[in-house]
Amino acid sequence: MVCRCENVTAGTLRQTVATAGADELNRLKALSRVGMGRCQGRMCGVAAAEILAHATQQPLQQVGRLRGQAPIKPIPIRLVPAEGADA
Amino acid sequence: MSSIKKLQTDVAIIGGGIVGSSAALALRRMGASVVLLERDLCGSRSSGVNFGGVRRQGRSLSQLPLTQRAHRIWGRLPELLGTDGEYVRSGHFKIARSEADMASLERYRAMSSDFDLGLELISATRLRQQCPWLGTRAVGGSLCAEDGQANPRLVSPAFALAAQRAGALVFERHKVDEVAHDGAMFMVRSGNALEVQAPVLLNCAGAWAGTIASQFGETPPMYARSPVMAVTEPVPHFMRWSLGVEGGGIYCRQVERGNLVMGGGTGITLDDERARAESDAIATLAMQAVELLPMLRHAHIIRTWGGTEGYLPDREPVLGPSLTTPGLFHGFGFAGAGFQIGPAAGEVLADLARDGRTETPIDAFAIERFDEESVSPSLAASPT
Repeated sequence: MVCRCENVTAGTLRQTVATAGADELNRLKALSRVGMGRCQGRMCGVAAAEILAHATQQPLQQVGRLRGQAPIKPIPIRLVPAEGADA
Repeated sequence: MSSIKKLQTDVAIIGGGIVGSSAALALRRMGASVVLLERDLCGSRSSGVNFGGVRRQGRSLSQLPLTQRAHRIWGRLPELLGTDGEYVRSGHFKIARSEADMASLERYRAMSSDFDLGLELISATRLRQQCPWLGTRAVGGSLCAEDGQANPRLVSPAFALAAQRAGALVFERHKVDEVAHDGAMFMVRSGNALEVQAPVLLNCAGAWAGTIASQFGETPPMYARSPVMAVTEPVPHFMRWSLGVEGGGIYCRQVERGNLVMGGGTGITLDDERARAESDAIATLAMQAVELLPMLRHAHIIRTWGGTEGYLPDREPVLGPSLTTPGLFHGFGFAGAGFQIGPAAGEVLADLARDGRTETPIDAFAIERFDEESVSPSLAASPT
């Protein structure tokens, strides 16, 4: 199990590489949901990148990194307006 | 690098979004050879990061023939793409927040009655019974039961993959640096990697299509805008419909996994390449979401994003032949509402590429509607 938030296994990642030709980490995320859960890839991002690099026979730095997307950690929706006003 | 790769093809396509990719697929099914150039990854921009509404309801009357054609394509998605892309005809419900909104929805139903959208108006009383989860500002609405939703990050790349499997040559990460027309053939060049020659060129470059059009002396008044999107953590399923609001504002749907995807307002365009959801717009969106669906007040937002989309002042796309250059056809400027009609726009472009005409009415989308200001004859004579 690579991504515990979204239940994505290493096998699913390798299969996505094989069938859809994903060779970049954000594309792998889009196709498999890896890194799309509550932790936004903070737990699984590095492992997913290593598996992708290995499966595509690229150096690790070639597969890219997950794009950072706000908020940094999950934020209750009712608190968002207050946060937004401060910003 | 070794010498530049040169290809000849029946049709060259610039842009691997849902429009360009579905045009490529349609052309391959007609037997034409196709080369598609995409500056990034296919379906990674607006086509892949949009809200995912697959909606006919609420479109302008001029778009209804196109949207109906698209509806038939969406119905065959697994057959065409080998995946359903999480497409479901879950229903699209447009909420009225006042009697005036309700009257407006009634007018739309009457106006669109020739097109058989199957719209059904729902009263406040029935809404309370049927949807206890809906906030109290909703006083009724209009349901299009056969409209629905899909996962854009799966569907749009799948069109490109299907085109590729059908024999289209798809070049990702190939930004177009030069386009020219010598009177008979187009030449499309990407760096020192690829040069494509074709008698027909389709401009499906989305928010970046204006740059291509201007190479041929056409300058439609296009501007870029970035819708704001956010998604919550998964919550237990309560809502099947995709929701919109009469008069605009928030739109919202619950995906199969349970997450609520929502959008509305305008983000920031950082530069030519990047857009962000901005905190004030997210704050407004969050307030509207809680008003619309009060139970969401305990949910967490886990991610926000934006995308860059091309808009024209009348919010209708440009779809049809170039005014200046024979063999050039445009399909862009879908104003944040191109996901559902994209596949039909692609088929129309394929019709135009093959026959020079299409059975789907597209006059309302002609580039000449921007008349004199859009055409500069001096430039048209000498495309770079």
